[in-house]
Amino acid sequence: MEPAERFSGIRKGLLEFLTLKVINAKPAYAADILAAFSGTSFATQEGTLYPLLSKLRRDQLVDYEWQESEAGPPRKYYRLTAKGKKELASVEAYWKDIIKEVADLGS
Amino acid sequence: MNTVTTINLAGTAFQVEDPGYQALKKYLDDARASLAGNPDETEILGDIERAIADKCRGYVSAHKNVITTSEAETIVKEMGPVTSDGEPAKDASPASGTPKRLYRVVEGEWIAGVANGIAVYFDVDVMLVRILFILLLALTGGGFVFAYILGWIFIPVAETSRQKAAASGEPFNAQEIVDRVRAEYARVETKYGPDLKRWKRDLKQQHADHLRYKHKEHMRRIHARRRGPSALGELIGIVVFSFFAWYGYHHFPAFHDFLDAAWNLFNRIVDTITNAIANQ
Repeated sequence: MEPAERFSGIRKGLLEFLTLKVINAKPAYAADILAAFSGTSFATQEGTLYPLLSKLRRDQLVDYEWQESEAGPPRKYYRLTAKGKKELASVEAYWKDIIKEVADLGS
Repeated sequence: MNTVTTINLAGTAFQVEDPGYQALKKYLDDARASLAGNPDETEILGDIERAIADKCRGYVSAHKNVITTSEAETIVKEMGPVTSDGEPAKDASPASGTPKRLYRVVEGEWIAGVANGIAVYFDVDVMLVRILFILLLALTGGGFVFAYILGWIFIPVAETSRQKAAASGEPFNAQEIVDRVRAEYARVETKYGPDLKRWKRDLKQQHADHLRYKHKEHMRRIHARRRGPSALGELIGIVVFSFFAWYGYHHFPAFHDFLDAAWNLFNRIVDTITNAIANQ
């Protein structure tokens, strides 16, 4: 099995965390989030991202506002909530611990 | 030259070549199926539609106002299948189309199929419901008979196949079966991707399984005319029933009087008939 295949579950599991990270760096449209992921191992599609953003909003980690644009209809502009920022910080701390454990195990 | 269909995507009209329209329609139908039970179903579908509209806008210009079939297929491939976000479906068992309805089920009834119908609706064994009825009969001193008679009068009998399917909550009409098949197809598509050989092999196996299933269903329908309990079940039922009848008769005066009156009436009818015969 290719390493990429082995890690597909892990990549899928990390997507929520990474979406929060991307939105935290800069509030964004869905298209911007997809652009941020494209070219990386986490490249994803609208069919996956929209349900995920919806779940994050249901969990009150992100919120959106409608933004008008000259070249078309209004679009949703996502940003993190305070709860989302806290959650991101705690997940990032956990992530750093896990990376360290992975590095230490078996060495 | 191809015909086009005009569609409304999030408030903007687009003209799409007919096969392309079919592809988009299928994509959205599959998305709706994946999102069944998701509390944000409508909102996500709106997002998806808006995203498709955005992509379509990229394909039209002053000199070209039609989305071609291959462009529509590219859009569908770019969007990717809509994944349910891991939330368990709200209601796993009956297809969302057919509501389960309470009917009297006459196949295998004892008296009027009331207990049978209730057992089918709640998907429990019929003898359980009958024992419960007898308990209620004893506890209410015979008053439960009125409840049963009300059920007899007001619960309709499941006669047509559609009613029988609704009695047990199975999908009946072609559209519901098509919806179920579509959902299955969407699942299959994401599983195989470009692996054609494995798909062909699995398809052949599924076809064989399906034929076997249809044969079994056919034979089951032939054999399953009666939905009745086994001989031992009947015996146990009679014993339990007799015990409760005996117990009720000796411990509940109202039930005692009811049974006496019924026995009385029965005797009077028999006497009337024998007299009528004797006086011929």
